Amino acid sequence: MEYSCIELNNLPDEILMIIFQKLNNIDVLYSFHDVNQRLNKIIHDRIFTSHLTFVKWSLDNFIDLFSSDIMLNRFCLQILPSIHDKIQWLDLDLSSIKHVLRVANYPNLDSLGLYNIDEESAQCLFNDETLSSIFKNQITTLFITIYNNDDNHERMTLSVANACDKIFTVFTRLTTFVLYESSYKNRVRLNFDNPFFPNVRSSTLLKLIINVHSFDDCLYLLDGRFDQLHTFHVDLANTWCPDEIINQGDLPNLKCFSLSCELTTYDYNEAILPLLYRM
Amino acid sequence: MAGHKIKLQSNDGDIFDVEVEIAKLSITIKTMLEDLSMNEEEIIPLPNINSAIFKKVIQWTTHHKDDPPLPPEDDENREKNTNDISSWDQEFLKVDQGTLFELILAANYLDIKGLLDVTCTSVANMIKGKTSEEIRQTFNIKNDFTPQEEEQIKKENEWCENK
Repeated sequence: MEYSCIELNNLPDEILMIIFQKLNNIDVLYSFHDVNQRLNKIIHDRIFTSHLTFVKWSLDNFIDLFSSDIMLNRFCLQILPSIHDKIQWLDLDLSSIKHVLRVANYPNLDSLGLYNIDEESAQCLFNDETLSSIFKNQITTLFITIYNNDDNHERMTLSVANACDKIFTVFTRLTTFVLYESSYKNRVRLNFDNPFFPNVRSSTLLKLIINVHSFDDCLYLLDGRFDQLHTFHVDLANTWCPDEIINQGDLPNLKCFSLSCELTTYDYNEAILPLLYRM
Repeated sequence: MAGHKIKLQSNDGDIFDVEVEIAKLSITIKTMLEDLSMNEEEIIPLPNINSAIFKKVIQWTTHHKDDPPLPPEDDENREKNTNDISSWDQEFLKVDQGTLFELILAANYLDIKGLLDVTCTSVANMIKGKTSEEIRQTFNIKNDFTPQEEEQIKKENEWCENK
């Protein structure tokens, strides 16, 4: 076969877009940023810049995709400052959150995924004055995974609940909140006798996806504290019916609801049916 | 009808007898035959493809003629997986870069989704993990920034590496 002289840079934009879309956005930006003017223009398209995911699901947890300091620095010092106004959604591991959020203004950032957060880092991060404006005024969609290696179950569940309480204090414009957790120990348990979580409430939240400990926690979240909620997906560790169902008000705004539990469902008629009748 | 053939002509004048069922893996040719009511005795010209590349395309479509159709892609949610190239395709794609890019252009022109998909995935694999300088070297891309812009980029690079 005769040698062909066509090169990558001769391919039309539409073909380069197809090739680049086979890669993660950060691979595209890392490899092609500042290669030449034409490629710079293509990779600055919102397809490659609006949503950047710096974490990857691996086996049973999310891992950071920054494989080296050189890579992190290239993004923080060159790439992110040049596309800062195009970024709408960032998914970040705890180890790189502050680096990435501090290197530029992100005027159009409204969605954040924060992965492997623990209670201590959450307190530190959410109290950071340089970031508070982003959290408070811009973020409407928040995805969180919580890292927790405490052996004490009571402390663990309290820690997750405290992190949630802090989130609703800081992110005051949330419309969507997703707490991804598959681990039993990191399920949200809010129905402690004491302490009380006064900030787990929002008048803006429309969509909540959360894994909780028990049916009590599900009812706790539907006691009017999220009065605009229209979508609620909840996964329970168990469906044991509480001794006393305290909140029984109607849920007129709730249009989309799913409840799941890996274990056998007890007390369906006594607990779940009355909840469905409230909608 | 199985085994029925049509004539396809590459841009360098070679004529290929290709089974209709194989030729119809190309949506472009399928459309010509069905919508434009082209007579199967007519020679169908393919002005964008030379005979060497068209031979490769026929080789690929013949091997993949019984493949199930590809599912529609959901680009937003699809897991980016560039490792799923079959061993036959990997062997088929052991060609120089120029041929690979011509195959991509041919697959795009002929609208053969499977071939376009696998050739683009192969290029994506060549890109993955490379720095911008390695990309320039691998794909022979000229740096066309002005000296001032280039100096600025160099400074930023040094800053990144030393930080």
